[in-house]
Amino acid sequence: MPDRAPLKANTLASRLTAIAFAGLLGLGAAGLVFEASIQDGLQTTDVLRALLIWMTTSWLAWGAAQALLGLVPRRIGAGDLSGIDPRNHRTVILVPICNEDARATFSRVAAMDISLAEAGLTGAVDFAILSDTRDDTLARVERQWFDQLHRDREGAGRIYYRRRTDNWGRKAGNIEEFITRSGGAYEFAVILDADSLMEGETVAEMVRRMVAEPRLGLLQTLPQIVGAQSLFGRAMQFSSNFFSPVFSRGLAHMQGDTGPFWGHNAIVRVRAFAESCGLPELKGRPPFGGHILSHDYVEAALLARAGWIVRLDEDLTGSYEEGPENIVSYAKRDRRWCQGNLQHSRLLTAPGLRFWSRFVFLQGITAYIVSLIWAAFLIVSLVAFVTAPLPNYFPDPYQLFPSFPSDRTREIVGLGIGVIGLLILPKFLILVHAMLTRRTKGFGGAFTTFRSVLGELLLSSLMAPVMLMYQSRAVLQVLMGRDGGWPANQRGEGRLSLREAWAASGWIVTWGTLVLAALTQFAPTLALWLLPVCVPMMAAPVLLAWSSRPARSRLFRVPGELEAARVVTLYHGVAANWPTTLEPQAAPESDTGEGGTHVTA
Amino acid sequence: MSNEAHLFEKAPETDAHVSIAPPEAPLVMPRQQLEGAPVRAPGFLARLMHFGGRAAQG
Repeated sequence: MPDRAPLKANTLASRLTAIAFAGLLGLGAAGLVFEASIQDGLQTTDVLRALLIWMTTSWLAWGAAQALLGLVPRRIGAGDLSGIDPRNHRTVILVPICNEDARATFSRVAAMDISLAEAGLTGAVDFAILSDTRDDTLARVERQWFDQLHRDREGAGRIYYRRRTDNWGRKAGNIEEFITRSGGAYEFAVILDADSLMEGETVAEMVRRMVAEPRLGLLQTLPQIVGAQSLFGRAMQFSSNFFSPVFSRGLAHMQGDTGPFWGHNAIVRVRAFAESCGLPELKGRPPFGGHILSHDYVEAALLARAGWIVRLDEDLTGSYEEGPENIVSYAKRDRRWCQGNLQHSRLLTAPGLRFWSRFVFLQGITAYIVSLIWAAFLIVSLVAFVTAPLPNYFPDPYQLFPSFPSDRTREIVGLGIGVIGLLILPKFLILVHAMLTRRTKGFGGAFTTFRSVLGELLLSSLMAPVMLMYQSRAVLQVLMGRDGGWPANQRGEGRLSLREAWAASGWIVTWGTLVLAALTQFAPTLALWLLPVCVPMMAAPVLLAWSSRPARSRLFRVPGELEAARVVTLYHGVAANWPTTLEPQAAPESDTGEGGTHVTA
Repeated sequence: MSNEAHLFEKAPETDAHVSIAPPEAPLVMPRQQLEGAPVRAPGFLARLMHFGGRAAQG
């Protein structure tokens, strides 16, 4: 176990800058709101509004600070690693799966295996597909496609498959079961998701970086979304390719050696992971007790607690994943993340954690709570408006001329523009930075990138009230003790009919209509201000269905569409060559071992 | 998917015996201590919301 590395001066400076920026802007906004609201006398709602706007503006400013920091170049300091031969360091690529499309999953493994061979790593890197699939029929299909993969890639002795019958600990338990059974055979493990893809050369570079820094326990890449088809999916794909590298660099500046783990597309030092990351079951029932849902954040915190460096190297290319194709899939995934992040409130006081790990937990919790805070701000503003006393133009009984209350409309409009600016400005600065560094070339040129940024802003603005409702509901459900479970991911095509969209968002339409009706009745001047919130809510089914439609155009173009990454091309090649269905095979023989079933053919 | 499963049910036995299980090389993975002093806030909030929800339902 290494000694804890001291906090670097530039990491501390980044953190303090971001915290001060967010705090001060939040205070400024709160001051403006407070001053404007007390013109007619101090009321409880004025204090509440100031407090709520402080929290929401600070949160927005925090995101903006991250983007601004991301524009500052970062020296990763990997140095010349050409002397390190990754073939001398036994590595396994873990692919945990649960009720996935087996053909697609195993095609990806085949593509990565070809890519590894091209990087000269055949024989040095094994694959282990770790199935948690509960459905026996699906599991048999998995076995069929595994046999196809085995034959196709001559994988005997280096491509493994096993299925657990006991799904203890879900994904974290799945990885743990592998490490306790087979971890001693490997120095490093690359952890992927079923929809992950990674270039062989990227794996080689990750191994080199792990070898070069013996205190490095986990190295996280920034996976880029590929293969999106729908308007929503392509907008997310554009955002992931264009904005995320900058936001991630900002995050890396702040996190330093206490970096993030996002659960996949990362490499771990197996010994460090085994020593530090055995997750306990939390006391009590879900959603706050039981298995730790968002295990990745906790594992990163535990590695840092044990003195290991956890680092995000956003410069590592060749790391990919797929994203949700419609808002409903996104919201379902978000529900799971919401529960996982709120569960971290149990771990804020966990013994021995580094300050920044606790801060990251708090940040993750705030990311979801903030939806409720926005909703509360809107409600309190409405209440304040309705209950505001009529202005008294003659406070003095012997006054000859009326005295008008000071008009603060200009300040409030300024505040509104400032809040919108915090959302928009970072993205435009990223655009300008990309134009100056010619990064826009890969996105179809400067003009197309400009259109894509505008399109993404418009779409995210339309989706924001709908997402606010989904997130608020998720937070309330968790706080009321409702466990969302761990539903399997929905991948692939996700076109929604209007009927399906209505079923998923009818309740949002009802809320939007009720709020607008109440505003029109009780606060007509406020109604106009809140139209950008209420109208998207009322149009939610149309928005959901429309954004899930396939969209092939220059808008939201990403470099991977102009020139596909090698491993993505290989994946499409394998998927095209493999049969759509397989010849029937026998049910496999099984030998049951501790904690799982190891299947032999 | 269901067609595949149906065909699979009727498949003949195979006689291949290639081990596809990962190698046996155990590592100890001790349980970490995460819960220090009891944290009351989430439970309290959860109860508050629970009763709030029930009250809202009448």
